[in-house]
Amino acid sequence: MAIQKMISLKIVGSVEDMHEVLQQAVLSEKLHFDFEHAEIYDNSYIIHEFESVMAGPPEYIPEDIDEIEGLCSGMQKELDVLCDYLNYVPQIEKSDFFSGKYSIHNARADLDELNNLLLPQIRSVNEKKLAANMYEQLKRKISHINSKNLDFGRLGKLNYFDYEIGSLSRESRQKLRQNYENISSVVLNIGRIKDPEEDIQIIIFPKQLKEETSKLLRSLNWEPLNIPDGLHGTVSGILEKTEEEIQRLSEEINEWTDTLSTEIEKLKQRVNKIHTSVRLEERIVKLERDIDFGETAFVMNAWIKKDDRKEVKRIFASTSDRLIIEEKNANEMERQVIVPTHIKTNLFTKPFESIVRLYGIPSYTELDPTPFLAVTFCLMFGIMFGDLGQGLIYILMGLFLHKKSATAGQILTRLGACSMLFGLVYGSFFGLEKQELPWLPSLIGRPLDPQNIPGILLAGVVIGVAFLTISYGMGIVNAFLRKDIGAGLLSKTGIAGYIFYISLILLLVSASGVISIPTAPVYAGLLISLLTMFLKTPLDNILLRRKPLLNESVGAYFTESFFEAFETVLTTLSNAISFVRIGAFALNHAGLFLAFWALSEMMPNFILKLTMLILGNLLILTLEGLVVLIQGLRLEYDEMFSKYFQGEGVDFRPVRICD
Amino acid sequence: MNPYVPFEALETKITAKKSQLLDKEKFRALLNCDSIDQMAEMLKSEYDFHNIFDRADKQIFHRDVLETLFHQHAVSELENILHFFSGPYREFMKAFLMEFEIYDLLLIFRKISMGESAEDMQSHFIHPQKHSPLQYDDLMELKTIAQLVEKLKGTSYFNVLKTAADSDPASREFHVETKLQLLFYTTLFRKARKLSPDDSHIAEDLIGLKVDCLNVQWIFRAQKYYHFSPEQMLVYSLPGGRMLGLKKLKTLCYAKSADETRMLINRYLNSTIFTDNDEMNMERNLDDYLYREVTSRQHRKSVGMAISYVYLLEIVMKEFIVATEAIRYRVPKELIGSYLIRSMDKKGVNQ
Repeated sequence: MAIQKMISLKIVGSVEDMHEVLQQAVLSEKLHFDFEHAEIYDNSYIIHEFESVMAGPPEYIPEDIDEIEGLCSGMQKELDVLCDYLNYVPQIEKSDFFSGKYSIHNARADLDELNNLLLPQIRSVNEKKLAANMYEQLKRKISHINSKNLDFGRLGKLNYFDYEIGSLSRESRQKLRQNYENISSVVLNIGRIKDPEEDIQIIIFPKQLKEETSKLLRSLNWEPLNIPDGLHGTVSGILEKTEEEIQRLSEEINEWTDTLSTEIEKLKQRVNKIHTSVRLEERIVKLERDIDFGETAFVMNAWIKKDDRKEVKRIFASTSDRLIIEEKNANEMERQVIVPTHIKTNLFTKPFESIVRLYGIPSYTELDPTPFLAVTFCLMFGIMFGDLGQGLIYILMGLFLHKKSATAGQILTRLGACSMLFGLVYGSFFGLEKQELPWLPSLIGRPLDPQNIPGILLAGVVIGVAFLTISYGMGIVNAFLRKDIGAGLLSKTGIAGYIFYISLILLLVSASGVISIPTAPVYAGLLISLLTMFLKTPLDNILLRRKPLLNESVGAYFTESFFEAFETVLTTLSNAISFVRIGAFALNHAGLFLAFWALSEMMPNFILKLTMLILGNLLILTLEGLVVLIQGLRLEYDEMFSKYFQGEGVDFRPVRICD
Repeated sequence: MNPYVPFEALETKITAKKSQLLDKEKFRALLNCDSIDQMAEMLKSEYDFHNIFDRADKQIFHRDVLETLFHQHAVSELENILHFFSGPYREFMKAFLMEFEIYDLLLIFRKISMGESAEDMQSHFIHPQKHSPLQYDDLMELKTIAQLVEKLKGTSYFNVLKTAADSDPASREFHVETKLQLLFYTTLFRKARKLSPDDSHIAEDLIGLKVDCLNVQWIFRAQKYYHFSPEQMLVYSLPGGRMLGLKKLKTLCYAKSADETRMLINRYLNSTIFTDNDEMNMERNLDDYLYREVTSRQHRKSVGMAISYVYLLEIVMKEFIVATEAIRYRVPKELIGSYLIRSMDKKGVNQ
């Protein structure tokens, strides 16, 4: 439940080993490469240094990256065709690649073999599918011809006349009609297709006007209906023969499909191997484009998790004996280098990581906000939405959602559990309370009990003070961790800010008369902290012995600081009362159900009464649940994260075959 | 009050745009430019062509590039006035963009038909694409006409192009172009019929004028140069002409000679499109005819304002191209006038 410790690796080796090293790096899925800080890492100098002492591999000719890229893309296309045909989605299987003996060229040879084996079958089946499709189209159109006795065989035997059958759109037919008196063909409408709206026409024309007729038909977007040789005869005859052909072709295709399903099992492994090889090579080529290398040496910089250190060293030790690996802890690195962040979570906090990521990724030196968010978010949701029955529904919904969206499902189950817990505190089951269900356990009683209302509202504020105290604390620690002393001591999220906040709270408590507090130190705290924040920049510069004390004119600085101080006062005030909403929503939850209860009391019979209560619960579960969720998020992001979380980190993304 | 168009606001906008577009003095100043660079600067500063000219390299102001730029400007103007429309009126005005979409589609069609890659075509496209159902990126990657036709399934272009893959490659481009133009005008008229009765009538009237001009050009050229049969000429003639109904179109298609066609066209349009044996200026005279007809109509508080603006924009863009060509080839200033639309010069601005 913290930020994982990282180690920086600088790997230097001979270019001859570069491909193999990269291959093992990709397969291990443990290295996060850093190509952006080559200058800080001094890569050019290191390559130069090593090249001056390292003799180049005399017979080594590196492979052309563009060529390999082209090879991969071509192979992937061929593989896609095969997989389409096999109706199989290829998988990544890394086991064959750790030895480094299976290269892209081996994969090419394997693919050629597969092509030789399958391509003739693919072509044959595709031809059959096309033929079946053609017969289907023909059947569909021919079936729309009204007269099933129309004999195309006899028409074809005419000596001086020729004919064409085809379809015309309504607009084209209209055009033809407009000038029918000048057209030297007989046009007969023999059928009608509804979708798309077309007419099937037979055009009979003198043989010597064939060219003229076909030109005219082309202008009309004529779609000829080509009846294959051997099918000419009556419409019913054509339909019968077409049906037979479709049947025959379907049987042949099905036969192939059956054979194929047994073949897939045999071929799966080979297909996966080729697919993995192509993807792996593509990834290596991509890395080779970014990596720094010279004539004989290469250098790469990567981050690994401290826990993976031994494993990574073992992998590279077995890859080549010409590698030099330099390790450094994250805190030994230059400040400009951004260390990637990997958040370690446990079973409870894991789903809440996504809420943190929505805001930003914690930087390596920051405290992980996930555990604090998980606890506070669940607690606030439970207080605002405490109900034994409704919480149970959320748990069930979460379990159901789990398959579709694991994170959403897991968050919902945790929120549901908290809701149930506070349901026991309030004694609420689907809105019904001890009054209606006397057996229901209850710790403090119904929230709308006049005795409980002030307590619940006050509890909201107290919880707010506690949460914000922790938030300020985390913010101060974070500032010191990133060595920003000024922010930790003097800023509105630092110690000065917290003193101002807590003084304001104490002042309000004192004014309310609940607890008697001497006001003089409180006023002093308020004044000193405000003054400290007002003079933050010069004080910061004095602390760090920097000059000049102000980076801008005195007038501009004090004007800006005045407005900032004013904004701080307002923000702190709003912070102080913002958490009242926790109590308010707890009351609102009970109040909303009370309204539906009152409505149900007006219903004349039990069924309607029950319907009203179910309706009320549905509304509470959906709308109110959503509102409470949003309010919780608002408090997390706006009130708490703003105190301690910057979210400017970079995610730890180890290179993988496929992202 | 029309619920789909705030006509008062539209009128203000179009009047302002027209006064800028048709300013005679500004156009004269444009003609007096000595170089293409100077003209480009003036188009940017005086005619607000920033949005498109800044994207182009002025060194490449050749005719085809210029035509693309001017078309792009016309499209952006049309898009600007689209904001004033909603409901069936917006659909109708959007249909005018289809002409540019067809232009782009034909570019892709030509490239694929010639077996060339369409991947570098992006800069030649005119249509803004955001209003288009076509996935331009996908279309540009296609290699065959059959693939293109398949990709257009589900769009109105499919039915027009479905037979293109099996047609003779030598002549199919012409047929496809003509059929697409036919589709554009059929769509335009269909959408016009969904407007209020008054607006529908005005729209059909104005589009009919344009259709007449296109039919005259088509029939005259088909007869004289391409030697199409009268039946084919009639099939490819656009419906909905204002002056040239079916009967007159038929008479023109079956005319015995080019002289007879010229005489009939002058008579039917009641305008001198052809003078003696001169057909050189047919296109310019038709633009002149369209300009006169469009500007002579009062279309206050109707869709006619927008349609007139679309047509005027098209005519002015043509004038800009003529002016650019005249400056490029250093045509003497006194001769440039003979290549321009005369009525524009007479009537001038603020129509």
